[in-house]
Amino acid sequence: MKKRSRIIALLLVLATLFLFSSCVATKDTDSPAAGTTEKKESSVEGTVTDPPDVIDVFYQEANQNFPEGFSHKDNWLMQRICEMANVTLGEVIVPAYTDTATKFNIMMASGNIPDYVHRADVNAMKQYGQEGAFLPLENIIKESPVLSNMYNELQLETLKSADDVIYILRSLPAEDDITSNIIRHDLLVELGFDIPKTLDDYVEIFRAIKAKYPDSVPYSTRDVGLSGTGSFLFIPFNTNHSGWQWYPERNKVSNVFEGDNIVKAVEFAKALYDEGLFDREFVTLTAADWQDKQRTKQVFCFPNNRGTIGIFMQRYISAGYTDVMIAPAPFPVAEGVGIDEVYAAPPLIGGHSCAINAKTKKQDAVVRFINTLFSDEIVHDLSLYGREGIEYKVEDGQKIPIFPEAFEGSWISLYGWAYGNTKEKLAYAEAKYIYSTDQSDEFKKEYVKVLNEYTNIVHETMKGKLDYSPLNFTKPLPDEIINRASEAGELQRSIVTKAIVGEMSIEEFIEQKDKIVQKYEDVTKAHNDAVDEIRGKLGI
Amino acid sequence: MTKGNESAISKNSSRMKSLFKKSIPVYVLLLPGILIHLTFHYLPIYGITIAFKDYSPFKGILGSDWVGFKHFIYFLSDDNYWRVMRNTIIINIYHLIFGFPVPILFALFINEIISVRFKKIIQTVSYLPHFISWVVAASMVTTILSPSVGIINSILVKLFGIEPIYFLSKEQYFRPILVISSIWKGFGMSAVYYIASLASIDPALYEAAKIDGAGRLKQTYHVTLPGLRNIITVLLILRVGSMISIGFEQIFLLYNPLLYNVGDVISTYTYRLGLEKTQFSLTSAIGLTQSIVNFILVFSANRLSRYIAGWSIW
Repeated sequence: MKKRSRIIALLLVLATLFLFSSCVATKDTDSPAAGTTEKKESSVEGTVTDPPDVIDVFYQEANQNFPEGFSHKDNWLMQRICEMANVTLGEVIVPAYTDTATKFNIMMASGNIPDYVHRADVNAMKQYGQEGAFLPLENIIKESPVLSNMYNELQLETLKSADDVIYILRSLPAEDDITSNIIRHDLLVELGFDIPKTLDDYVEIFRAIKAKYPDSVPYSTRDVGLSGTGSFLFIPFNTNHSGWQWYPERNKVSNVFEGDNIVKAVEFAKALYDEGLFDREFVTLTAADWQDKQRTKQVFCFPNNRGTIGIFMQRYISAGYTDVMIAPAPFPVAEGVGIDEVYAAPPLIGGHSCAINAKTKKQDAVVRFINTLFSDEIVHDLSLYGREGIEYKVEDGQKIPIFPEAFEGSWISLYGWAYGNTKEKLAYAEAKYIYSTDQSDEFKKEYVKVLNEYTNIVHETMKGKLDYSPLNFTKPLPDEIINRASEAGELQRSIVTKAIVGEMSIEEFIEQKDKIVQKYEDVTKAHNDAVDEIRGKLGI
Repeated sequence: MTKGNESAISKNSSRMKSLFKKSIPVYVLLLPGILIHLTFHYLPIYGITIAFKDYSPFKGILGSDWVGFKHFIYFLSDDNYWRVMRNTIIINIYHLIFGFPVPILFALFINEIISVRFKKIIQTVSYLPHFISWVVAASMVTTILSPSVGIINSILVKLFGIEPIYFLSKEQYFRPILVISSIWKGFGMSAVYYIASLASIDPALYEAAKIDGAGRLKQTYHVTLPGLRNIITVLLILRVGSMISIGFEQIFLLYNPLLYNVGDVISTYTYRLGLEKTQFSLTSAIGLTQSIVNFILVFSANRLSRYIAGWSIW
């Protein structure tokens, strides 16, 4: 018995030691990714080039549709990029779109940062860069044949963190990728309406939809806080549900709760809600629920940038709604809100950014990878059209999509983020979806015509009327101010939502909102001080 | 020291040594558990120093600047913190008053079932919800309470002619929803402790009580409940010891901006600060404060139990 217990004890100790040894993690970044290239021969001299470096990447997707079994690490476009850059991929982290912020923060906090990081939250990236997470990039930009020609002086200014150092690269401005109100043209035709121009037009259309389809939800929004798709309720009133924004007509940054615009917006939203034209369940709606309602409940409009039209088209088509026609429309504008028209501020620079891990041992490899990502072949060709003979063919000098490959391969847009969406790029992407369906040729031609017509209206109405917002250039504010702003935002969203659903009277809402404006005056001042400073510095 | 004492001490010492030698296999058996406990529960305590620093993951714990009690002062003077603390305590009190007795009562009812087969079926069905994740459970709750497709509103509308109520947008319903859904999900599994305790009560006590003329109720009061006293005390002390902690998932999945005032609790608050705003030092300070208060509560509850019931965990 004694001997047996000794043997058991020894086995347990050995098992524990084995367990602890497996807790010591070693990242094997030198093992090549499956399916990616190993070694290639130089095509000119016939000599063998260096073996590819292994790098780890973090990528942010933009809610594209990925086919079943898709691999971010092992797809034809990533293989081509790796081949051009002479790299192979070790770890590739691409979290689901809705989870990106949390996963990104956890990853950064772990200290286990990939060699290359891509993220749409520019301020967070700048902040992390300043804290030491990323490499300074000035020299890399100067020495890169691709990057050195990308940015002008003003754009370089927007890359800087609060310490005046550049840690990130940003995508180029998407001048044609305007955020407008994307509407259901097919419903307009069905109900006999023209393109709506005023808020009253929209309300009339909502009522007509509700009368014809009693179960419909003419307007809905997701994400519980009226963000993004909820902005139809606020943009026409020259305001927002929370936060601060630059007001060109006031020539300053103001809390969106300042003045009466927000009250008018809330009253409008409340009227829609009470009448049943605005989704009664918006408070608890998830993104998935909203997408489902969008398809099945005749949701008439949702604000978004033009680049998402293709993504939404694909979702309608995949769900069998091939007769749906969505197109961008200008926002209506309410009276007495300080503006005559809703304009789109010109983007000085894009909203996506990338950076290099400060502790990477593969700096050259990552630079090659970035240069490849920003190259014309990837951005203007492969990530838009795909492969000749597979995703498209050339007829009479025109690139014509081949189906179903062009439709199923729409994920390639993930790799085209470095350059902004031009009108031509967007038009091609949308044509891919339109021509993928079994609808008649007349329908397809009509759809393309409608898209072009509406897009022209949006551009004529919204584009080119404003100067750059100075907020493009301001450095990230101190942590205390950001925390206060965040706290204010939560409060604002809460009382706006309460006022809309009737949990709070309008009088009480006015009282609360004025208190919020007063309480967070320091944040307003901090924003304006930052704007004044940068305007003085840049002379804008 | 006398020779007698010296000899007694040396006898004791050699007996201890001999005992130790005999127990070596036992100590070695204990070793893995102790090592794991030390590694994963005690060594990480060092990381709590980030509560006193402006922690940056890129500078590391040692390289980050020391700021003393800055974060403690910040959150203790922040209205939001007291709001979430208030909500946490209130919701926990509701759980204690309404949720704590339910598994006990359920165990008592189960105990009264004569048919063993039926008893087992009821038990199995009762603790199945425990295995459903809160993601699924929250989705079920949202659907059941939905103003458009929910069964509760269907009953209200069709049977009572009441307008549909958007339960999950109204403050007055949120806490009851939390408590009821939590009870539904957890009472079956919690009752297992009590059912196990009931099984250990000597049947002779029930026979003696019967002979003395006690009916079922009196037997429950005089035999069953005293038999459960120890387990109830232990679980109550542990429950009180987590009065300012509360599960994150349930509330995170069910709440929304309309309900922050009554539903935002410490765990959701620290999630937003820690993971969404990367305020690691601040959330560590909050966590440390929580742990200290919980420790004081456990200690006090244990002492109180000793004074009142004459029994305590330690």
